[in-house]
Amino acid sequence: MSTTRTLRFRVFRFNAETDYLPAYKIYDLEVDEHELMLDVLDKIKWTKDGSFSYRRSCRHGICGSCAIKVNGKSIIACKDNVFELADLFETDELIIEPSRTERAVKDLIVDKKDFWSKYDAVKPYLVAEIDEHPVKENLVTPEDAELINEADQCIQCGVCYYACPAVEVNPDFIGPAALAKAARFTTDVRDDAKLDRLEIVNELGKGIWDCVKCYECATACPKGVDPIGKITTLHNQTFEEDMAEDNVATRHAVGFKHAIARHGLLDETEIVRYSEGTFGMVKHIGVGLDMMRAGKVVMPWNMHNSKNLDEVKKLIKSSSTTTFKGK
Amino acid sequence: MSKLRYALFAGCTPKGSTPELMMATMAVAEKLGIELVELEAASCCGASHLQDFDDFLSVVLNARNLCYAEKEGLDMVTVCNTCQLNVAGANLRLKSDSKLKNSVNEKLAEVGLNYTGSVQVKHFLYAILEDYGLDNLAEQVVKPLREMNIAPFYGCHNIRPTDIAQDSNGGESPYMPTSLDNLIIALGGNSIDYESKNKCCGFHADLQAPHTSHALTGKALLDAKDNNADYMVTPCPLCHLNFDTQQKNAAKAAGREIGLPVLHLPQIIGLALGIEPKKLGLDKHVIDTQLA
Amino acid sequence: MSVEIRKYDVVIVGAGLAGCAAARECQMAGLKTVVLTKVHPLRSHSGAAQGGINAALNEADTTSHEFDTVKGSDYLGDQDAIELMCQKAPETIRWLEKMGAVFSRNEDGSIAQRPFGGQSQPRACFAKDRTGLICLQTIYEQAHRAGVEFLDEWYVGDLVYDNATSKVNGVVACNLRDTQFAIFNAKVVMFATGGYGRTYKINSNAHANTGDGLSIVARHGLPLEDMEFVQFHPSGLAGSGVLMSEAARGEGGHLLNSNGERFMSKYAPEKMELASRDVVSRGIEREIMEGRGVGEKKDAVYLDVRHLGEEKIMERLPELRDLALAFLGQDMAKEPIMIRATAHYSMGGIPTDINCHVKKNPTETVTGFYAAGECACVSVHGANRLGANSVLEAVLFGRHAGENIVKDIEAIAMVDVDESSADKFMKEVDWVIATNGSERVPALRAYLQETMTENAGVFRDEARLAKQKEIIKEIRKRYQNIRIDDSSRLFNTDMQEAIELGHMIDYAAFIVEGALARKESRGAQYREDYQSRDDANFLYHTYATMDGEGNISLDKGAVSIGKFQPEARTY
Ligand SMILES: Cc1cc2nc3c(=O)[nH]c(=O)nc-3n(C[C@H](O)[C@H](O)[C@H](O)COP(=O)(O)OP(=O)(O)OC[C@H]3O[C@@H](n4cnc5c(N)ncnc54)[C@H](O)[C@@H]3O)c2cc1C
Ligand code: SF4
Ligand code: SF4
Ligand code: FES
Repeated sequence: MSTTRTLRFRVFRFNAETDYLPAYKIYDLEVDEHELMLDVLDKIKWTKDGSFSYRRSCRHGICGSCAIKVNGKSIIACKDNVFELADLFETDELIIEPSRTERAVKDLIVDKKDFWSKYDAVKPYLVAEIDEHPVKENLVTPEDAELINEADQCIQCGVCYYACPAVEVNPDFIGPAALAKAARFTTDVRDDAKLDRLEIVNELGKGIWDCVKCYECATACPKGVDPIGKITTLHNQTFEEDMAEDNVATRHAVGFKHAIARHGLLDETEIVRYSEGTFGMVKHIGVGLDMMRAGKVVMPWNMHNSKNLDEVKKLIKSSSTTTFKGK
Repeated sequence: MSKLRYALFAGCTPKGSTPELMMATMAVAEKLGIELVELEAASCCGASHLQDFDDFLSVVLNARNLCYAEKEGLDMVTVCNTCQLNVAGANLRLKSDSKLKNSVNEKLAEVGLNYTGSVQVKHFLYAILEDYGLDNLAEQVVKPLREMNIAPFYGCHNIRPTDIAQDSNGGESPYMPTSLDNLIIALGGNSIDYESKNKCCGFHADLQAPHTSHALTGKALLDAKDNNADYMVTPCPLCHLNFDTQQKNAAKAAGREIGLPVLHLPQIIGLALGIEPKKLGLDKHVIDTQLA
Repeated sequence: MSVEIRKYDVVIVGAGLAGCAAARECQMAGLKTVVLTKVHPLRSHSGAAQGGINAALNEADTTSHEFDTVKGSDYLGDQDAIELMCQKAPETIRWLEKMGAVFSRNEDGSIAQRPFGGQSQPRACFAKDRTGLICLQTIYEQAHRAGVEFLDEWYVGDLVYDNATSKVNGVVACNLRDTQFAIFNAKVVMFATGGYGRTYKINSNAHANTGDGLSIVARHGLPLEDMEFVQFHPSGLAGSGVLMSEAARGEGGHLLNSNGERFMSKYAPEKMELASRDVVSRGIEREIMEGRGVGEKKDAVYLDVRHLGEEKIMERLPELRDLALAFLGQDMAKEPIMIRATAHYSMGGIPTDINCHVKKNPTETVTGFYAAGECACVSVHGANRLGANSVLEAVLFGRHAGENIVKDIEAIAMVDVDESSADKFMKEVDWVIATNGSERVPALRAYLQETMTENAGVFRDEARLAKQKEIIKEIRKRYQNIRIDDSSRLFNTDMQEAIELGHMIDYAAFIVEGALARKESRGAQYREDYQSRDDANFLYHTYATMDGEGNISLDKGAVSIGKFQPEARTY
């Protein structure tokens, strides 16, 4: 027998034309164990209030329309089971909100212009001379095809994008979905615009270096795209293709290798100096003095090394796969 | 209970700019009778940055780190979320990808090492939770943290990505983490519920995107403060660096005074166990803890 | 309220595979092209296609692809169109590949192919079990790259059609965001509005598949063709009807009844689970009817793929596994999952000639009006479509429509229209928002869907169809008495659902009327009172038109027969 439960839903209601502030309305509904969040939205609309608005189409996790937040968790409504959500949050009351309340237009419908403009920014299409009447396909090995596969499963739902804290505080950040899209093409052996794309995603303040590595995107993505993994791919390709500019971000990544080669461990003052350059250190003087006062700074003469450092040095020599020239 | 023994992967920050974390960890371990055998040969985990430059190299170096724990025949304990991410992450990748394991072992052979995948890697928090046990810990409390409202700050890399957390940190939920809350309660403190507790402190973009970093740091601190926290506690020294040493910058970004002292996980345990504040390095903070 | 009039060379309605493919051709030829779509292009239902897209990549296989398609169609498919499709299929797949589609590959790097129901050769090219997503993404991306203007969340509600000259001059649409109306005045209009499966209770379709395009056309007195042919896919998830692609059977899945028997041995001893869809669907429904169903209500059968092993399931069918987990909590790597037949595909639609010109009767075409994809009936699927032939149709005929538009357009006049062309649709919307009756749209829609499944579903007969005809009349009347809750003009989805229900009622009547008149069983249409095919009397296409009261009259169109003479169809 299927079981049912009565749950309370606190739902974000808002009409940008008439309302100054949103209101949370309460609906108590009987839900069965197989029901998904989208079933709840449909029930509210079809049995309680027809004016309740949200986006949906395919109802089985492939069209990307129905992104929302439940108790702060960024989801597509047609994939998450209601009981599981209630159990996860150990509650009988779930809060249903749009992906980003600040962008709400009506109830759960948000203005996604920001999301699509990022999508546009990475040249989201294969750049190649297209043979309009081909008699033979490009030969692509299964391994090469598999490289693209994960990123190609993205349905542009925006779940990761609206879960990303870096996007939230920096509206210019391209964000996980579009960066995964960029990686989808930079890993495609048929694409001719790899370098253009790497240039776009390397812009400081917007691109891959603004990711805070929180893994929210990978955790939230309903399609297993692993956007942060794709961002790492872009980082790697940046160095492989000698597209890395000589700046604070690239030096910071490279600096770890130098530090490890020198001491095995990181000299934290040195990594800041190496990344920022000696002049760049100026802006860290305040924090540096605070730290010094608290006894947090290891003086160069006190910096000690890992034991068996020669092993580390040897491995760095033999296992390095890229070099950094710095444009 | 037989004595708990672990290989300690200390990490660079506890040996560098958060010496108080190292002090407190060792003091607490001693008090609880947990033996931590420091892996002195270990190298830096790469801090989630080396992988951006050279992913393979970062796996090789962490495989080497794991080899030293394997040599000791001990499970490994970390005291930093990002060390946990990198070392446990390498462990998971190597265990599930035999091709990668083979090519890594080829390199390790040059220095006479071989990775087998025989040890677990867990953060100290989970060693206490799962192996030592909260009930046991509660019994050792001599100075319950009754007066303290403590905001637990989990730090990303102990709870995300989920596959690593599943494999090594007892499958803590990234959406509803409970370990720190339970620990605070076991120590007799009040754990504060607030939205930012499982969010990001911004540390990893500190140099590259300082505005983003400061904004996130400020947001989390203020969220805790606005929910009546007297202290924040975190298992991660990198979160700590941002919250403590960068708190002034965060306040500037937020346009508000903050003034919230932030403690390391072993520091609050140590306080409850009655360890002298100085031994826990409580005087080595930028934001005064008023405890030392 | 004033209405904006926008001018274009070409207006395309629908941004699925067919619409995007056509748009790209038009744009590349320098025509001023706009695509209107009620959902974002990437949200179109084409993205849901799972299993594959057919092509005889080995040229020697082309004739056999043609034959399989003709046989699958139960000889109602037009063989000239089928020939064109099968011959151009390999080029079409490779064109998709060149544009970036990430097909699954063979070891040598060529495109891999898998077996599919009703096919004598493995000929379905695929991208795991997400073929549609990959194809839609690719075509949209390249159309976008070419500079096509896409206007999404615009709802098209009417056609600007001049009956006197048989010329289409544009469409009337409303921006869903603010309910602002506009007339898109153009030389050429193309419809690519997709399928009509939503009129059934158990269906595999998206909420958007409400067949708007069909009813819009029919309301101008233009005909719809072969509407009675609705494909029921054998494997919809029990309860929701969400699709478990044929790939599950293509890869070797078994169907079992409550006795654990592979019951298809009774209905298609040779092809078993891989017989044509209509045959398998009837097998499933028959088992359920005769009490050998599984599950709480005994209204499903088992689909068992466990013997493929977890690795192959993860490699080839990851999406399907996720779906069964989400909807039923069943892991197909570990247990059999529950399925039943689900309304899936619409063979019928807007009649077109082989070059995608919309027909105004069996022999004449309308000027400046094209259609392709699932909303059109060209007809390559006849009475039943083969799996993996419709993604192909949508891409290939979508592109073909674009090419024909480019070819024809110089000879097509731009006829300016005035604001009054928008009156009808604006009145319809205003009425829906303002009317204050007592009927609720969701309840009325559910009633239509339940009765269509019951009376015009997998098994049909005179009595049930006649009853359904009366029910539709009743629903039509009750629709006049609706009331909605939302009176705003901002994303009024309540209004949209009401308008869509209006369309569903209209085309449902065509399905029933066609089914009633066709006193035979052919392909997807199975009449229990006329169980065999009757070529002498029914080897023709149904052409149906509707008058202002919703009464439908029927006409006949010839079937194009080519290489293959009708013969008995067994699997
Ligand atoms: C679950 C599922 C799986 C399938 N699997 C396969 C398969 O494996 N192989 C295969 O060959 N076929 C498969 N099919 C069938 C195939 O996917 C469709 O027939 C085909 O994709 C239809 O494409 P289309 O371009 O005609 O329409 P769609 O992709 O449905 O696009 C319709 C477009 O019209 C727009 N539209 C509709 N009405 C309006 C309006 N009033 N105003 C504005 N815009 C409007 C929509 O917004 C949308 O953009 C499957 C179908 C389903 C449902
Ligand atoms: S890992 Fe980077 S891209 Fe992903 S959510 Fe965090 S900041 Fe955003
Ligand atoms: S990466 Fe995942 S979460 Fe982000 S838009 Fe794509 S499918 Fe959605
Ligand atoms: S409705 Fe399509 S993804 Fe949810």
